[in-house]
Amino acid sequence: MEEARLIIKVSAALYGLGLLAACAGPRCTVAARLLAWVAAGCGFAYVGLRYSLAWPMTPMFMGTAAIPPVLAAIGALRAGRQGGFFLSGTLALAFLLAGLSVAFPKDFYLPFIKTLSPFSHLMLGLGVAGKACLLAAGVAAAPVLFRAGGGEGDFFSWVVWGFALWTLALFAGEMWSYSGWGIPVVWEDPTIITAMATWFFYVGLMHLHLTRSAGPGVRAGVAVAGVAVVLVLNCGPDLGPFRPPFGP
Amino acid sequence: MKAVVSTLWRRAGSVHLTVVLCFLLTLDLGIGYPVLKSHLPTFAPMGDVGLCRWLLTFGLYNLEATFWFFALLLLLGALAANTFVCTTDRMAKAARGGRIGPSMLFRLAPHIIHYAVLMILAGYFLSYMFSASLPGRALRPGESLALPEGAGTVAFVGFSPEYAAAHRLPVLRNAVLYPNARMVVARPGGKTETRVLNFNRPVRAGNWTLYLRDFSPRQRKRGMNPPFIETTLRRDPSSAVYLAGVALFVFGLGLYVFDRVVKR
Repeated sequence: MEEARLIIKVSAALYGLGLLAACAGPRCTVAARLLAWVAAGCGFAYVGLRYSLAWPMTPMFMGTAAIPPVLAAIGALRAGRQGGFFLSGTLALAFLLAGLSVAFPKDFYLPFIKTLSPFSHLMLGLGVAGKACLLAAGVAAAPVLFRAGGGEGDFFSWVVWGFALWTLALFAGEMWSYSGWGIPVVWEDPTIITAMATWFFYVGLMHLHLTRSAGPGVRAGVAVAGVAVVLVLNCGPDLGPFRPPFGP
Repeated sequence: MKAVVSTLWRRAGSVHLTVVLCFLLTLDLGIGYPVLKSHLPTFAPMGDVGLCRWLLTFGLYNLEATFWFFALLLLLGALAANTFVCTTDRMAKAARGGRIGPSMLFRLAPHIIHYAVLMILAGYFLSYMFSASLPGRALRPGESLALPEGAGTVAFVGFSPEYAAAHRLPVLRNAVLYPNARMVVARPGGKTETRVLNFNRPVRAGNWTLYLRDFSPRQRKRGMNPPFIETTLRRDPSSAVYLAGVALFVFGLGLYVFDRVVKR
């Protein structure tokens, strides 16, 4: 576990360096993308290590710590097409989430054998990918909100992907609940409530897009607000008590 | 009168109402999270006692913990009505205005998703209202359980456990991963079948399904723990409704994502 904790600290530092490089201007974009890839590699190594410790069960409360490498990879992959701000924004969120996972770790729970289900693994994987896409949508929507460029298509595709993956994650959870408990919703786990809240929020955003009654600025504003919804409602419950990042 | 009905129908199916309801649901569930977290024992029995009895007992007598759940039911009911009216209206228009073919299927994808949501909500509601649950059925090796309504018996023969022999976490070394509880299901006609019961792998016996809730021993060296399994018997015919809804939703979502993102 100590190796995993060290790796996530290194990846958090690399997200920070990548963010500084991305903010330094277009000349440093290549360096920023390179740092983003290296940081993402460290982040995936952390995920792999946590998985290897829990396998064949699902690691507990790993959602928040697993999002940064996916976000950094999305940012590095799409920076050329969606601009430098997209790279800076995704790296800033990756840095924030990795930093929170370091300062408030919740990696001390033992895996439990009810997670021995392919649906449990699917729920975690699809959920992480879905949340990363929804956060990327918020980042891509910020320039539209502040009229600094970009179009609605830039962020709405991310909303669609994020919503689709998030929905599949919820369905995987439902199938797990059905096969394990025989009921569609297990009320013993309160995070089901926050998962549903996020789902309804994005259903609202997609219908707002459909009606076209609110302007593009409002829709972009809701997509940006979605970042707060995902961070507070879905990443928050995965965080534990404070632990000094440089302490013993 | 016809004009009033027409106006009501139009307003009930408004997409603006959908947006408002969705954001209200987000707010309600956001408020519900900390309340649920601090009152888990109030909500845990819902799956066993059913929605109606839960609302009349735990729900009504713990309003400080359940107020958001009553609001959730009202909002979900309103959303279901709104979704039905809205999508029925639009689907009729879409079906009238186009030729039958793949393009129409893509155009109908959002409506397929909407009807799937209705199926899922109806399935959940029926499941919590009409399913039967008999929790806390504990069995030791050699003991059997009579299924309700003369549907037969289920006997627990013993374990064939699989261990995490070389797990990387020392505390999990030699822990039981798969208890593999061997069960003999005897049907009323005298036919018997041997099945294996595990977490996430229930055993079906006629209309009833046996779920593993707990078992002992959990380690290779059993110590003082006597072997037993604790099970829950459930009968839930409406599960087929929400499982079909999930399948329909995934189909519609695939069409929508393909049309909306991949094709463009």
